[in-house]
Amino acid sequence: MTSKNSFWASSRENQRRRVWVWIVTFLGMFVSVMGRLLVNLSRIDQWYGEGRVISTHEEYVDALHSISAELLGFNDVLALFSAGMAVIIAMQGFSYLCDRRKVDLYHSVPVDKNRRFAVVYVNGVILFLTSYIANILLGLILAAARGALNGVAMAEIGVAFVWQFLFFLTIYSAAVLAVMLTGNLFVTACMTGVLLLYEIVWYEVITQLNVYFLDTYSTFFVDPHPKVSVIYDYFDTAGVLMRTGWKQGIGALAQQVLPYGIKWIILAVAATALAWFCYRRRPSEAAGKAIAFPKCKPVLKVAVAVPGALLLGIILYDASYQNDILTAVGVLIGGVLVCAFMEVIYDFDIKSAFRHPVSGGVALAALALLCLNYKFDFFGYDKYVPKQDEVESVAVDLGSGYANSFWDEDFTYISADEYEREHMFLTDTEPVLALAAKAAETDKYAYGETDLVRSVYVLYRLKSGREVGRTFLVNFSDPANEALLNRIVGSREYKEGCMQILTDRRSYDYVDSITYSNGSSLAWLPPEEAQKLREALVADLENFDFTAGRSQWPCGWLDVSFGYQGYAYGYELEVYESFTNTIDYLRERGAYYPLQLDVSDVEEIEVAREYRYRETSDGTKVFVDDPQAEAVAGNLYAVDFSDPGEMEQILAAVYPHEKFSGNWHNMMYELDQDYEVTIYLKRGTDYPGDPYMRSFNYSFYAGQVPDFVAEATAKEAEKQQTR
Amino acid sequence: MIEIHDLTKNFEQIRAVDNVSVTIRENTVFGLIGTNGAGKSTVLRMLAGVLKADSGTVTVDDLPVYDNVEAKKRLFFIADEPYFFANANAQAMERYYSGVYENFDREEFYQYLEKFGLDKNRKINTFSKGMKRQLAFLLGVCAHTRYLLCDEVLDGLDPVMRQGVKSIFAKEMEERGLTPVIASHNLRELEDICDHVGLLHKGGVLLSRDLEDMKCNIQKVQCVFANVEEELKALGGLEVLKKEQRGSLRTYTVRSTREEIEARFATVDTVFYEVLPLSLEEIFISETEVVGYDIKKLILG
Repeated sequence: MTSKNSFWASSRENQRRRVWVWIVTFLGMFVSVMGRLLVNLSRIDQWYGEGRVISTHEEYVDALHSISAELLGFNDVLALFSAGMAVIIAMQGFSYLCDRRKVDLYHSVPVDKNRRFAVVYVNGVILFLTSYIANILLGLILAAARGALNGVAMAEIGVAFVWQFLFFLTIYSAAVLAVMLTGNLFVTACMTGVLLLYEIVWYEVITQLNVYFLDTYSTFFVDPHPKVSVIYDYFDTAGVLMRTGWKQGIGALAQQVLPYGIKWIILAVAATALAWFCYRRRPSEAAGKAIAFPKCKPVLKVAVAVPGALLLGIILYDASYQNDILTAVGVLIGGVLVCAFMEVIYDFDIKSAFRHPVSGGVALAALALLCLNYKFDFFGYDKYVPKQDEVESVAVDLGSGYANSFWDEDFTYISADEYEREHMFLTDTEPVLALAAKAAETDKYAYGETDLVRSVYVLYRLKSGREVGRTFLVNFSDPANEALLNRIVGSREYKEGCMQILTDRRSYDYVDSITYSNGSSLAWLPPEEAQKLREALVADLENFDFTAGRSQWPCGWLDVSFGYQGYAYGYELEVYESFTNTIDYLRERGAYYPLQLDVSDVEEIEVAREYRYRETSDGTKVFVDDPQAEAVAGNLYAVDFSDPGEMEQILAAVYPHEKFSGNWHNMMYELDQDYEVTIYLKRGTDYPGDPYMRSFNYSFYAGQVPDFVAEATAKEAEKQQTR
Repeated sequence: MIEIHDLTKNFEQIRAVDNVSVTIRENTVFGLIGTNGAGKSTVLRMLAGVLKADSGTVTVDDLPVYDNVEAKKRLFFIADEPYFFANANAQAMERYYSGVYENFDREEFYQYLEKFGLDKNRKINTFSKGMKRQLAFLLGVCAHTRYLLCDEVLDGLDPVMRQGVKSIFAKEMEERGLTPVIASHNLRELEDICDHVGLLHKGGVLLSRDLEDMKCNIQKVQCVFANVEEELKALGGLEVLKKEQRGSLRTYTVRSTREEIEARFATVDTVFYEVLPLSLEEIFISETEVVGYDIKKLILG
C-alpha cells in the first residue's frame, strides 16, 4: 500500500489537476499521428487502386512501410506539436509560482520542496510520454493491421521515439527553467522564447553583420552554426534524417542521431539542475512579478537589448541601402527602445520605461563598441593572414568549373566545401598565403572594370589545431598571379581535393549513361567503358593547371550519370582541346563533334541585337552602335542569316555559352553581351541528339562580331525605330 | 511556542517588516493587529514558512519554519484570499489536505461541513466569499495542527458564523490545545477571543502583551477638576497618551493601572472622576496616535 504522503501519492494528487493537459496532448498527438496516418494510408490505397503514382505491388508495400515509418517516427508535425506542448506542460505544472494565492497554499503545507519539484517535473514527463506511447501504440496497431510495418520501419520508429522524446525533454526543461526565472506567465512565455532562440538570434545577427562589414568573412569552409540550440539542431538535422533515414540503414541513422541525443540529454540535465537550483532559491514573493530574481534584471536587459538593437540595425542597413550613419543611429535608437521595453515589462508600467539608466547605458556602450569595431575593424580581422610556419595545410576553392558535383561513398550528394574540406590538404601553402596577403593589402575598389576578380575561399588548418575559414579576392587576369595559381591548381593535392574523378574509381562501376556534347550535338557513349573514359580524363587532368583552364574554352562536355540502389546521380565534365587522350577516345567512338559546327548542318542563324540609343536634343532616341549607350531591356532586333558564306563566318565566331560556367573567364567581357545568336540545325543532319531540339543559343566572342552582322542588325534597328 | 526574533523583510525597496520580535505561547489566542500596510500578512506568511525572512528567525516549537517540513506539520495557514483548486469541491480539497496533513480528521470535517451547511459536492467557485472562508477555516481546523494561522479569517462571516468559528476555536483549544494566530482589522471581534495581542505599525511591533495586561495598563479617565492646579497635580508623573476636553469635562487616556490612577485622583480636588477600561479599538487608536498615526491629522492636517 502506498503511503498517503509518498512520492506517488503526491504524484497522483498532482495528476488529478493536470488531466486537461493530458487530454489536449493526447488529442493533438492523435491528429498529428493517427489522423495523418489514416489519411496517408488511404491516399496510398487510392493511388495504387488508380494505378497512379504507385503502379506495382512492391511500390505499394514500400510506400506503406515508408509512410508508417515517417508518421510514427520522424514526424515533423508531431515534433512541432511536442515542442509547443513541452512549453505548455512546463508552464501549467509550475504556474502556481506565478500566483500569490497558490504560492500561499503550496508553500505553507508540509511538503518537501524537492519532492514538489520532482513530482511536478516528472508528472509533466509522464503526461507527455503516456500520450505519446498511447498514440504510437495505436498507430502501430493500425499500421500492422494494414501490413504497413516491417523490421526496418519498426527500428526507425524506435530510434525516432527516443529522438522525439529527447527533443521534448530538452524544450520542456528549458521551459521549466523559464518558469523559475519569471513570475508571470506572459513573461514566462517570452523567457522560454529567449532561452530557446537566443543563440539562433545571436548567430543570425553576427553572421549578417560579418557578411556586411567584414570583407574576408566566410562560412564556406567553416560552419559557425549554433552549438547548443536544440531548435537549430532539430531543424538542421531532422530533414536530413527523414530523407536519408531509410537509405542509410538503422545503424547509420542511430549513429547520426546519437550525438544529438547525448547533447540534448546534457542540455536537459543542465537546464533541469539549474531550474531546480532556481526553484530552491526563488523567493515566494516573486509570484506575479516579471522576473523572479531582481539581480537578473540588468543582465537580462543588456543581453536582450544588444542583439535586439543589432537586428534592427541590420534591417535599417538593408532598408537604407547600406548607409552606415543611419544604421548606427538606428542601432542606438533600437537599443534605447529595447531597454525601455524591458523596463516596461519588468514593472508592467509604461512610466518605468527609462528606469535604471546604468544598465541601459551599458547596453548602449556595448552596442557602440560593436558598431565601431565593425566599421573600423579594430582587431584587424580583414588583415589576418596566418604566418606560413603556423599553417599545417590549406584547402582552397578557386571556383574551378571542372567538377561540379560531389558525393560520398553512400552516393549521398555533398557540397563542394564539404568535399574539399575532407579531401584537400595543400601542404604547399605559400602561394595561397601570398595571394591572401596580396588581397589584404589591396583596396577592394582598386581593381579595373575588366579585371577578372573572383572571391576564393580558403581554410587554414593551423598547427595549433584551430581551423580558420576566410574569403579574399584574387585577380585571375593579373599575370603576376598566374604562377601562384599554377602552383595551386597544378598540384596533385589541389586536384585530388576538388576533382572527384581523380580518386573515385568506384563510382564508375555504376555508370548508367555517358553523353558528349559540343553545345548542340549529343553523342551517347557505352557506359561499360566508363572506366576507360575515366582513365583518359585522369591522364589529361595530370597536365591541367590554371593557365590551361584560363587560356582555353571548353570544346565539349561529358555528362556522366550513375545509378546506385535505385537513385540517380550525375555530373558534367568539361573537355578542353588539350585533353588529347579524351578527345582521341571520343573520336574512336565516333562521338567527338568539334566545337565549331559544320555549315552544311545549319539551316539558318538568327542574330538578335540589343537596341542601344542616345537621346538627341529634341528628345528623340537614335540608335547607336555603342555598348556603353543606354539599352532598352528586352528590345531586340533580329536578322536571319542563311547564306552559307555568312553563316560560316558567324559559326567561326560564336561559342555555346550556356554550357560553360566560365569561372576563370570573364564572360561579361570575353563574350559580346549585345548579341544573341540562335543556330537552327537542319532536320535530318547527322548530328544526333535530342530530336525535338533544333535551335541552340550561342554568343559571339568579344570583338569577333562580323562586320556584316553588325551592319545588318543596326540597319534593322533603325528601320524598326523609324517605322 | 512560536518565537519571532528580530524579523525583517523587504520587498525590493520597501521594508515590510522591521525587526519584529514576538512570542506566541501555546494554547492562547494570539491577535495580530495593525494599521494598513503594517506587515500583518507578511509576518503571518513568514510564520507559515511561505516567505523567507531577510534577517531574524521564526521558530515553531524551536524548529525554524522556512523550508522545514517538520515545522510546517505543526501549523496550518489560512491566507486572506484562500486558494482552492479550479473546479474543485469541498471533497476534493479534503482529499488534498488529508494527503498532506497526517492528522487530518475527515470525519470531523464532514460533520463540520454539514453543520455549517456547506455542500461537499458543490463547486467551490460557486461559493460566496463567506462560504469560502468557512471552508478554509474548517479545512484548517480539521488538519489538526497545533497552530492555526488565520489572515482575516472572520472577515466576511455573518454574526452567526463568526460565533460558530469562535466556538470551534474554544472547543479545539480546550480539547487539543490549539493555538490560533489571528491577523485582523476587526478589533471588536478579536477582543472577544484573544488572550494576547501584538500591535504592528509600519512594520514594527508597537506592543505585544496579554490583552488583560494591556487593558489593565491603560485607562480612560473622565473628570472635572476644581481648578487647573488640581489638574496638574493629578496628572503629574502619569503618562497621558491622549487628552480631550469638552467644557470642563476632561477625558484622558493614561498609561497606568486603575489602582494607581484612583490613588492619585483621590488626593486631588475633583468635582467628578471616573476610571473606565479601554476597548481594544481604543487602545489601538491611542497607541498608534502616540507614534503619529492619527487619522484626524491625516485628514484635517
